[in-house]
Amino acid sequence: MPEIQNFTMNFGPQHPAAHGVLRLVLEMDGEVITKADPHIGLLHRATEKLAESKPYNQSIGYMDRLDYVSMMCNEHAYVMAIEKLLGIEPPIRAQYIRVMFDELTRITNHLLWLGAHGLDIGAMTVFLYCFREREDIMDMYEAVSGARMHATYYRPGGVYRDLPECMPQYQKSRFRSKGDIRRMNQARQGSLLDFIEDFTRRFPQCVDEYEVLLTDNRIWKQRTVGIGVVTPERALQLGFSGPMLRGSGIEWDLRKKQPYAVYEQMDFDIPVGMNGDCYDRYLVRIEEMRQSNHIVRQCINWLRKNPGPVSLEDHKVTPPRREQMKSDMESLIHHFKYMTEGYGVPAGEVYAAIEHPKGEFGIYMISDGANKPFRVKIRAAGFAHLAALDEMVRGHMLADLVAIIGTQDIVFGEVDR
Amino acid sequence: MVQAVIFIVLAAILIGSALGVISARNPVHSALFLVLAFVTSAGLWILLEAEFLALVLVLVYVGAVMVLFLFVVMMLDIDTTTMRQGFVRYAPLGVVVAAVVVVEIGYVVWTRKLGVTFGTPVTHAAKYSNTRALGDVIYTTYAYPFELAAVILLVGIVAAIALTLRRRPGTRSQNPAKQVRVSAKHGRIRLVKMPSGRSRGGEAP
Amino acid sequence: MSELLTKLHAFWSALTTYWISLPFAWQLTLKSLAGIVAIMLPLILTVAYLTLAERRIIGFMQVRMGPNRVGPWGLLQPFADVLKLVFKEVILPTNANRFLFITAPVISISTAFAAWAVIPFSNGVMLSNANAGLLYILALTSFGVYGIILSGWASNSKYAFLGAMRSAAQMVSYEIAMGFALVGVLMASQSLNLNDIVLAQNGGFSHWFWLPLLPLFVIYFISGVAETNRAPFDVAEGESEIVAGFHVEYSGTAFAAFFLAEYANMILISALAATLFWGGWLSPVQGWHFLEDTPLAFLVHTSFIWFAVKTCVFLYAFLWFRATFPRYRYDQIMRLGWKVFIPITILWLVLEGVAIVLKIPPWFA
Repeated sequence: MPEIQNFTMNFGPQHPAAHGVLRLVLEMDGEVITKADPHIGLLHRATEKLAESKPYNQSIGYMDRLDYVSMMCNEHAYVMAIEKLLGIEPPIRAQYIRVMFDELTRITNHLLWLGAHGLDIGAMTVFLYCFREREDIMDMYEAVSGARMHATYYRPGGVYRDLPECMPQYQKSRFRSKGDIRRMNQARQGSLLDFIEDFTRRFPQCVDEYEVLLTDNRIWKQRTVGIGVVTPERALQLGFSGPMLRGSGIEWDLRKKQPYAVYEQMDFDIPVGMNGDCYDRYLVRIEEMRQSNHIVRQCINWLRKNPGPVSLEDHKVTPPRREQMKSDMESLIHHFKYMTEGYGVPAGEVYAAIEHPKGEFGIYMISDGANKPFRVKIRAAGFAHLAALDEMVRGHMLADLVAIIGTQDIVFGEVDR
Repeated sequence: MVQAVIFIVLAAILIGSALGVISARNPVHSALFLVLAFVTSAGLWILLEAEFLALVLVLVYVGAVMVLFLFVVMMLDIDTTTMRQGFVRYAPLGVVVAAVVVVEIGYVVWTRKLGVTFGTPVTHAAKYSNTRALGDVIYTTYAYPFELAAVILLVGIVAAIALTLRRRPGTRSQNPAKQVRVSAKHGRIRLVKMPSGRSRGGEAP
Repeated sequence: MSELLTKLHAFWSALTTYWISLPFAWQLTLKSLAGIVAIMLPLILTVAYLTLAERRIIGFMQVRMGPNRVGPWGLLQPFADVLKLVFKEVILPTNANRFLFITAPVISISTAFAAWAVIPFSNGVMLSNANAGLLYILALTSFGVYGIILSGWASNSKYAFLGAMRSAAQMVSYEIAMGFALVGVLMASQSLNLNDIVLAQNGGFSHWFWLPLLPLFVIYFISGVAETNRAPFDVAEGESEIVAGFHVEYSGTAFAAFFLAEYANMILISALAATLFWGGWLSPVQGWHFLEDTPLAFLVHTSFIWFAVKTCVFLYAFLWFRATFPRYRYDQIMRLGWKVFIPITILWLVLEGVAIVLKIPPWFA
């Protein structure tokens, strides 16, 4: 009898479940995977190197494009690193805004993850349900920064501007009647904060809706329970962070362990899994969405009561106001220097990490005192997770591989940088 | 007349495809020729008004047996050059076997032919069901042989599974019953109330 | 005007005399051809609009619009799709087996359509009133697997091959459960002829076979979903795993043929479920005599409309499944078929046999 041989299969980079440009070389014994070899680098854009050749502020936009489904969180780590080097602290209102948008970003990230994970496992409807809510958060991004995805909203010393008093509205078209438009614009009549508050009121029911479709679904359980189990010990050894680590039962969250911004003032709990399989990680992320929603509501309450500056008045690191610039010579010079040369940062090195929706996202920065960083190193959560893919999928079937890629919440923008 | 034409066409295809089975170089093509042979012989049986047998032939042989055959043939990448290596060595034996078979068939046909009259087949009423007729015979006269054949086939299935079942080391399998019994409320996640601790500095867990 | 009429009349009488003068074999062939066209054209149109209905209905379930741009309410969308597919190039992959690559979609689509020959649309309205109609349908659906397995092998692609293997195994397995479910129908109706099977269910909603054969009915329909490789059993073309499975290398018309076959099979399974378990063209309110003198009298009569309505209900279920369920894993599908469905069907067949022997009314009396 001829020896039964494994066969090699190329999974990606053009593959519907490859989450971008993941390329896996799979060794398969029938449907069972004996080895999975992830190949990375297909989305490498040299972000770290590019940051070395630009003034500090001009790299904020690159951070959006790292993990392009949780944009503002990436910015947060980067501006925090600069602020640490400069030794400044943004105004408290800016910090609340940052926390609010961090948590909204966590919700968008988890919405996209849930949709894509569902789609990978074949649950098509969840995807569109998730995108319905994600659209609202994109609108918030748009209202606050003018861009729906790559906001560049966080700046060293605060945020770009205060929350706007009005929301963009839908316009009438051939395919949308007046009634539709009125219904769609209903929540958009007031300020951005009103819109976000309305969203947080609606959102828990939406999460219930997703859960109705998935949580107790027999097929969903058969596809996720006991799949891709990682023990707590291995999770630590493999350098997991975020929901991947918590799904395995480790109580670890940077928002609690090393609180940054105003997370100390927030009341929220950390969901922790007990079995380390895909189902637990799914439940952890679902619960995180609810907790994030809770945090956003606290931020809204505080922001309503406490108006104030959202940016430092130190015009070495933040641009002066437009009107000021027109009449005041010093402001004009500040503006010119700020926009062309940027600002020098004291020599030193710093590591700033935040609890990114995917795990620990850190920026390690070395400054030699110039107006651009000497070296920037980005610590992306997804990279460590992807490295563990082989261990997680070995012995599982091809269909489980897809579930495991989904549960890792891989985004290649941050893995390849 | 029409029936004769259909018969000749079907018979020609049948013989052609039967030759194809043994002459095709690619084993997958051989298997497909065999499928064609089955289908055309089913057509011949329908001409004989044996539609039950014809459809069962398609259902069982074409629909199930040959699919599994194709399965195996496609999976195993058969190297035809190594298969043909011993051809000259085994050729004499093959010729002898073939000659014996030809003689046997010839003998049977020769002797039987003397007794057979080629008349028109028996015609039946429109509502005549040969399915029922077949069932009547199988479950009365030949009930025991039929059951015996069924048991032998069952034993064959069990034996085939037992022989080919192999445990692959390192395969992670799940118990679907246990998976389905899992509840999101119990034993899956817990909400941890963690004190916010800049003071504790965030030591590693 | 009258001149034209007389000319037409003359033409018609000439035609009828010509028809009578034709040999019987020719008449039969021409009649069958006319019947085939009469079934095929509406069927293809139904398939076209089923694709649109699927997109609109699933769109509705997923709080989005679905195609609404081509024509009023998107009604011309199927034609736009066909036009697009027809004008696309059929690409032959390198080292593909040319002959089989082209043959495979033809097999798929011809078996999907051929099965319609024995479906009764109304009392006695069917192309062929075959005695062994049920067996014929089973034989043809089992033949349909060749289209898939050949396309997978001929494409010379690993994804297509995996898809073909998966679907072949799946279809062969579910045919058994499906076959047993049909045996239940056969036992209850004492016939293999689909027309007779419908007539055996005469007597209104509660007389239909779905009630005494409830487990078989459910298993038949689920197996039907699996046979057609539809969600949640669509591992053969499971997009997220093996891209598009067996038809990953197909484009243009060849792809359209597979698509057509899949949807024709869906309609076939639905029509069969309606015929075998929901009394085909029979009215569910049969015997409600008080309706006879009202405008609703047509509801009581048996008609093609009931057959169509019942088929649509099942088709809707197909779409509903697709919008609701995640996809099963390959081995889980096999487990469901072999370890759950087949034992249940066998058990129910035994119970049914007992019921038939005891002549339990109203179904087995």
